[in-house]
Amino acid sequence: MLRWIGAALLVLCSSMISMNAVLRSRQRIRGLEALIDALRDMEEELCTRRTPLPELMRRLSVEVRQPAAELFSAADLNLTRRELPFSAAWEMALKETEGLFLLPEEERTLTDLGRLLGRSGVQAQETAIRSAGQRLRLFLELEQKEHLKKSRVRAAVGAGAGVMLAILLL
Amino acid sequence: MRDTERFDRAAALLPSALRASALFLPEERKVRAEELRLRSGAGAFLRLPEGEVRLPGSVSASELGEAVEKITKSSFYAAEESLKYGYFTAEGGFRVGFCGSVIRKDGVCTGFRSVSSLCVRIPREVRCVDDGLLSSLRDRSVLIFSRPGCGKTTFLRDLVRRLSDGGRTVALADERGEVAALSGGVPQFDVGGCTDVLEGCPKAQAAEILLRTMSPQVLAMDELGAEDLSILQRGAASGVRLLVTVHADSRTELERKGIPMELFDVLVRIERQGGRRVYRLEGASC
Repeated sequence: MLRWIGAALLVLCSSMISMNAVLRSRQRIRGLEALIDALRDMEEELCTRRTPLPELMRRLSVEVRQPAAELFSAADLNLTRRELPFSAAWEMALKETEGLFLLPEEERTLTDLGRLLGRSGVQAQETAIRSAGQRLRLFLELEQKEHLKKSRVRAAVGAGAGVMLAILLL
Repeated sequence: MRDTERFDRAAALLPSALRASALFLPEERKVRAEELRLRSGAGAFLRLPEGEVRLPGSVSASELGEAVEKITKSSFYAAEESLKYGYFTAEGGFRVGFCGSVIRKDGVCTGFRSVSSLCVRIPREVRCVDDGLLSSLRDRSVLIFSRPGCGKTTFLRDLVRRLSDGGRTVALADERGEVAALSGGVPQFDVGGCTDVLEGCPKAQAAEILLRTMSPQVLAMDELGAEDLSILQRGAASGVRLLVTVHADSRTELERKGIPMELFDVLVRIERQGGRRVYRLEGASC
């Protein structure tokens, strides 16, 4: 009886490991989607109302979806409480925000945007936000393709490996 | 808001190293302070009625950059329009003037390549229009003039408040945001309960909008320039009383600037005598 329980646990564990990878990929997609939408809101707010960055961060922290909202909330906190210059506040917020699961290249895109935000006129800001949004969209498309291609395989491989291991041990 | 609090808010715009030396100044100086000036390489200065006093510490180019970032709230794009004219009104109605190397496009100054000095003007809420003055100025078109820094805006603000609280519908074209200093739509200075404020819009355009949409009894504008003169005729023709301030030292200068004196009933000349402000009333036609 114990053997069968052990075998079932083995299958369950290996399936969970592969499911975790699938879930993480799904969270990354959700995070990128939220960021892209937030950048669109940011562009609109900044270009039409010329809202100053601290107010903009505060507004976006309540208006956009998680986990992007968490990023803007952290940036707002770093600006107002820690009194950091915007680029430093933004960079720190990117590091502090959990749940975005950004790849280094995606994080670099957002860090570069932070270095440009607030430093030029409206047109240049619009261009910077738009191009960051476009880059994130490319990353999102890649992730979505990867997710479609690999999620089923991952789940099957995870469960299969568990079954194989269980058979071997039995 | 007390004068010392206002000073502290102005000092909060300074780079952190200088902020402390400004905040620890004696109250007597804070109350009398008119401006805070930063000059790259030279230092920080406090302007009092009797002249400038140097504050301890130096000002580097990076500290000046820090101050600019604080003043504009890290948002150059929000300050872009007014920086073309060399100033930006920070939150709380602090007008900050900039100097340095400008960027020119098609022969017009579009911003700053680098800032070499800046001047934070500390606005005051002074109750200077007493009942006697008010009775001479009520229901009249008033032109207030003086040299820069004598208190025209302060006088205009208090006159607007008195007229407004007296039941007159006042429309205020506050292009630079110094008179009412709107923050989230709420005036940071007391401009009276019956005052409608249009901030950030060029005066001539603002006056046109206010006349059309708010049907004021009194139209107030600060620091009238040559480009705004046409609106005076339009305002006077529509039957509103005008309250206007102009940079000028004398009547001759007013005439040289082309101010249509016939549109005004009273001229108020503001002078400084021993650190005190003196208000002289003159008939516009004499």
